Amino acid sequence: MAEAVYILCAATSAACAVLLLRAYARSRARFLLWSGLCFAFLALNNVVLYLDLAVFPEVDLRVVRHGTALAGLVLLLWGLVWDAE
Amino acid sequence: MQGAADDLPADVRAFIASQVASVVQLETLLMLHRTPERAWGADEVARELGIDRGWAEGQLETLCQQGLAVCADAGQGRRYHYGAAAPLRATVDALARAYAERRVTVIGLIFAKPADALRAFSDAFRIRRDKDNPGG
Amino acid sequence: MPMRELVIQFMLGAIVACCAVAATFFLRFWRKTRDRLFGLFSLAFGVLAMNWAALAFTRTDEIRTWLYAVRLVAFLVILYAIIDKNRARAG
Repeated sequence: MAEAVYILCAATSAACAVLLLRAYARSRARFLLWSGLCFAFLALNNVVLYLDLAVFPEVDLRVVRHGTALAGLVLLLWGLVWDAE
Repeated sequence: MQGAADDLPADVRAFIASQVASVVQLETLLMLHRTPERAWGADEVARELGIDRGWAEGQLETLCQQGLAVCADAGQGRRYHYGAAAPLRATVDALARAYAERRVTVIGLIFAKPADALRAFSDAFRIRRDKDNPGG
Repeated sequence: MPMRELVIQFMLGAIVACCAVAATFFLRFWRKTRDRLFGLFSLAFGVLAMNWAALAFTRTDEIRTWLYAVRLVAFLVILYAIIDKNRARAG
């Protein structure tokens, strides 16, 4: 059950990343780059979660997991502060 | 991130932020600016820029409303020529220079505008593409 | 506490704060543009903030509890925002 949730979350995040980065390629509005990268990292976060749960249950991947989420969010915040308005 | 644009003069940056909505508009303005003695018709502008007449006409009318072009009704339709008011002339001159030397930076500034960033974000999630989507 | 645990707690705190700030920005954009998408993204990031905050206080890990339901809600809100944007042309 949890696996399915993480896969869905990863897919949703990846979709957002694709939509935003494609739009960035078209319009070069820099906020789209940061938010697109954020969702890419969040997708990665969900993938690592899935790996942590289902593929490598004996390894503690928490630092990598949280690292990906934090990286994405920091990029988003950078974009929100400098490029959104 | 915006560093590359910081050495453009402040008035040029402010002008782009408030007055320039698109690259087409900028190209139209600079075209008029290059030939201040000439009065253009919409289809001449369209041919010169490689866009359709309706689009050119819209841009010219906008420039007129902004006080950057002067329009006059002549026999065969409206004609437009460059007509920025005195305080703006220096800025437009500087903009023309900046565009000639730092084209990519100027275009980047046009697209980095605040309201457009939010609208661009929102529009990015429109999956169905249709004609009136300003997109990019 | 071992170093690893301290780092993890620190990261979780930072993540929660980032989500909360992002949610606040999106809230402001919603007020400014009246575009429902921003309101929904604000909600989603608010829920994500709660997700990671809850994780900071659970002794067992997220993957072993029902916490994934909270994360699911956040992403369902995002999915809904996308569907909503593509449904009505007026949006």
